[in-house]
Amino acid sequence: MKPLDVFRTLTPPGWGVAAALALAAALALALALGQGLGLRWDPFGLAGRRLAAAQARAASAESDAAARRLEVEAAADQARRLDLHHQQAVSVAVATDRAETEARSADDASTPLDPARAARLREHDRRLCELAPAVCGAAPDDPARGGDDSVPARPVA
Amino acid sequence: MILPEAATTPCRLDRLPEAATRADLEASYAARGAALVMCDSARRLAVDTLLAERALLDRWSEPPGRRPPWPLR
Repeated sequence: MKPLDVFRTLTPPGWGVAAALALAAALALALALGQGLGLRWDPFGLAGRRLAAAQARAASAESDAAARRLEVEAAADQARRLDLHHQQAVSVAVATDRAETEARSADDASTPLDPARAARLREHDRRLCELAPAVCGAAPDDPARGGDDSVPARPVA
Repeated sequence: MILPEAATTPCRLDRLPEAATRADLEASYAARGAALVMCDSARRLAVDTLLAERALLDRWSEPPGRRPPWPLR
């Protein structure tokens, strides 16, 4: 049997199958040639979607890393600010203790304050405490709230 | 960014004790000055924290291409 005799013996469905096989072979050959030439055939955009997803993941990771760097830097800055504040507190406490010690050791340290002057000062303090109770400390224990002008604030040496 | 405790603590008004002496007045004067300085330090701490937080948000919201070179300061 000659090769051409095969075609003569094909029935119409056989021709259809042969045509489909030939088409598939031509398509495969075209795809192979296209790949070799750098062409890409991606009718559903699967590769594009995979690429976009990978790029999104990379961008997200980069964004997270940048956020962590920003947080670390901000935390370091905040620690420096807190340290400055604490140093300031220590320096202020030392200076104030020294001033109080000198005040307590002065010759007239135990001389009572003029009652009229003390009353004026307490009245002013009382008014300030009314305006800004938070700066006057624990209000319930403060006798000044009961109408008394005495306003204890710190232990008397 | 966490606001420091010092920034949320009220300022303190030192007051004269009962039967105050001159030493009490002088000590109270010094204590009020100290309280003012510490209060201002706490205020600055609070403001700096707020500004730093805003700067952080601004930098974070900038597009990557427009972000300033690292580190900013």
